[in-house]
Amino acid sequence: MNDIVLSIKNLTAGYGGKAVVSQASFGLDRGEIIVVVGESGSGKSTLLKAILPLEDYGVAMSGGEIIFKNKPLSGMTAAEKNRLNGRQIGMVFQDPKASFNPVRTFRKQFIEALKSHGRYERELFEEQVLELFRKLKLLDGERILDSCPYEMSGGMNQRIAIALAILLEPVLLLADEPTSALDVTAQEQVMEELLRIREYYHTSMIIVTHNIGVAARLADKVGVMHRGKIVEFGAAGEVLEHPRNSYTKRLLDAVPQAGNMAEKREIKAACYLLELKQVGKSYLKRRNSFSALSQVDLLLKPGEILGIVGESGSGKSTLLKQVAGLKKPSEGRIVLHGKDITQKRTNMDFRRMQMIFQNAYDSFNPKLKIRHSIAETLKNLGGMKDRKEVDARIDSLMERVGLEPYLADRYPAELSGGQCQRAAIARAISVNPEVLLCDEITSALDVSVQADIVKLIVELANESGMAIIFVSHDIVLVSNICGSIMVMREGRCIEAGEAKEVITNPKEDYTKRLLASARAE
Amino acid sequence: MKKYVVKRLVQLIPMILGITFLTFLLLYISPGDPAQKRLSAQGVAVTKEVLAQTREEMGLDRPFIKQYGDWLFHLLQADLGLSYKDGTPVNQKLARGMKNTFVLAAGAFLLAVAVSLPLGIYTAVRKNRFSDYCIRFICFLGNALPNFLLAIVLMYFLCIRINAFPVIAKGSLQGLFLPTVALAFPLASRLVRQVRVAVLKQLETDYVSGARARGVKKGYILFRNVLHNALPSIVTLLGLSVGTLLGGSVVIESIFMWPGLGKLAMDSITARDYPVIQGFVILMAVTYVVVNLLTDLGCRLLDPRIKE
Repeated sequence: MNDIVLSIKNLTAGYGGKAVVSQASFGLDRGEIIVVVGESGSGKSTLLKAILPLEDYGVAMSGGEIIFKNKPLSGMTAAEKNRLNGRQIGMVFQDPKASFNPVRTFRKQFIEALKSHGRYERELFEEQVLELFRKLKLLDGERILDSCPYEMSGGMNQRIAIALAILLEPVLLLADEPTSALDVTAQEQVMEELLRIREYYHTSMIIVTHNIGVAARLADKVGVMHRGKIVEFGAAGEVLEHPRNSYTKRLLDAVPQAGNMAEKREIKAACYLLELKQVGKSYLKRRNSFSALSQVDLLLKPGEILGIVGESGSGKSTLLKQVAGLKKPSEGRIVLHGKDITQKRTNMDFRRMQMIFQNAYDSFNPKLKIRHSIAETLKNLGGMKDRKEVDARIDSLMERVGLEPYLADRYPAELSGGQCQRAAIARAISVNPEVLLCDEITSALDVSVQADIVKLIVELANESGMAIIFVSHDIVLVSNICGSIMVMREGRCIEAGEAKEVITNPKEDYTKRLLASARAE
Repeated sequence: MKKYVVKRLVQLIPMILGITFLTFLLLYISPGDPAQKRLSAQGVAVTKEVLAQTREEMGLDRPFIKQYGDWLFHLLQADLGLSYKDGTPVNQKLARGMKNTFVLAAGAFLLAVAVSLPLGIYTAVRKNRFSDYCIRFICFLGNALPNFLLAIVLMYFLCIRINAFPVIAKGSLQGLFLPTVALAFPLASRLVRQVRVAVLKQLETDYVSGARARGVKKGYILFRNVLHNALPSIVTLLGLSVGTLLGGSVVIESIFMWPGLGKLAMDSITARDYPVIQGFVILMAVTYVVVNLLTDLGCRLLDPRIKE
């Protein structure tokens, strides 16, 4: 295990003269897995792009050395570099659907890749691929080969992409956030697959992720990147258990911990603010009715924080859209303040419930300044007319959510993800809603930003007595802030109750699985 | 697929009925008395009695719905009536014109496709290089020039200055060249840009980086993946361009005196020859609808994701 596959010395690289990675150094042995963690903008992806010499990335090395199998990359001709792609160095991307042409069968794409490296033998192909699929526990290999990527789930696509990368027997596998776009279950499978590959093929890997859980599971060594520098590097256990660098400590602290349960708040109100009775939603899909949501009951008291947990496709976002009035349920009733709002809502009803979305950038009109967007809400739902009054209100809202008021005069694209989400929160609370609906509001954000946003939401709820419905796929995060939890699967609520009860004593197998995979991280 | 085709064909029926109704209505309410027109075309002195008699003969005195029903009944038997101008059956006139227009339009279409597909792909691959800029500049000119202006410029230089082609095409093969070019150039200019965008859109997708990272050869990426995936949008664009082509042919045919449908239509409009105009409009509409149908079917064959 002592032959070095890759060594990086004082690497400085960036785009167009601007260094994004500076002075990075480390070495990678055969069969070793290094996980580089860091938040977005830390330069971790650029590091990978500097190693894999793909022409269209535009990443330029401005200093240092990358030595791959005793040969410096900088001394190679373009043709030599191209020969490395795939055959010596494999790459796995974040977006699982992205690695494959969606409308071309896997078989054709596998053959193309093999042919390009002169490794295709018609008689052996099938056997070779199926053998690999068996080793990676990809069942039903024949069927996979004859399917198109668009017919497969994200998780399957990612696993097949990894299989294809391995088929070319690379010495080094680079993976850029290979699990971030996947459900917990699929994440688990991909991680297992990567470990199996190491076991069978002794492939070395560099995996870049923002997910500390993934690092803990896979890494032999961990590198922590911050502002383009590797601030800490060492054995995984050492770095994650006993971090020495202050940034590493902060990063690890921001990860939600299973132990931090939210305090159950005393709620005095006797009546319910919001009631959902047997709400369901079904769509017509080729003459068959497909039920995205069925028979969901939900009760929310004023000031209560309710968490809804489930994987993608579990119907949690659909449920939230019904509540917000963005879609009408096909059955059941929604009652707000004792008034049935299933079919018809007044502006007042809309004002009472405000929603915050997963992607803050998409929830603003990109061509309008933040101030303009918030003012629209204030005028339409808040009934504020006076311009000075509106401006003053916006300034105070911006301050309330922790943004400088001058940021309101920017366009959404000019804000960072965290800032934009804060602005979205400002817009939602601008009309003093009674219920705040949060749809995965932190999942597009870095962990440390996530921690701040969650803190803000809880503070706002405590201050104004708003009730919150907090939807997330992260059961640990939900348990940290919510008094009660509802677990959803395949459009149904399968478990609900007080957070403490659900976390410490789950009744359903599925909830147990969710908790187990969250704890493994 | 079979079911889908049948469904689409059934959907065509009300659409075509609607077209016939509108065509008939438009001409019914347009000013000018066809009976008078016919009589004066035949050189008959128009008296009140003669006019009334002719109107009765032509069925113009009956209620609108009845006239329409009658006309539709004949239309179903491919009988579009007689031309007011010279009394020849309209379908004969249309058939003759259609043959000529088909030769012209098909030639222009093939020429435009043959030029624009390779150029579109080439400019996409060489994006923002010198050759890309040059080709795009020429396409810009082609887009901006109205085709009648181009036709006249071509005519001036190639027919009058160097006398290489006849000014009046009149159905000869040599005469066909200039109208084809005049029709194809603006179309090709637009297609080059559209093909370029369609291919670029595919080149910028992540699966291309994925294939590159895997070391897949450039040829495989471009021709088997990118081009294949860009085809549905290219086919749609080609389908849409048929409309432009047919519209353009009206002008070009009149300029070059090419005896096609376009020229027939222009002549009939000036002569208020209603039956011919009706026939022309219906023929064009049906052609367009059928081309659209074929385009949709083609896209479905090319992209398995289009289901519903």
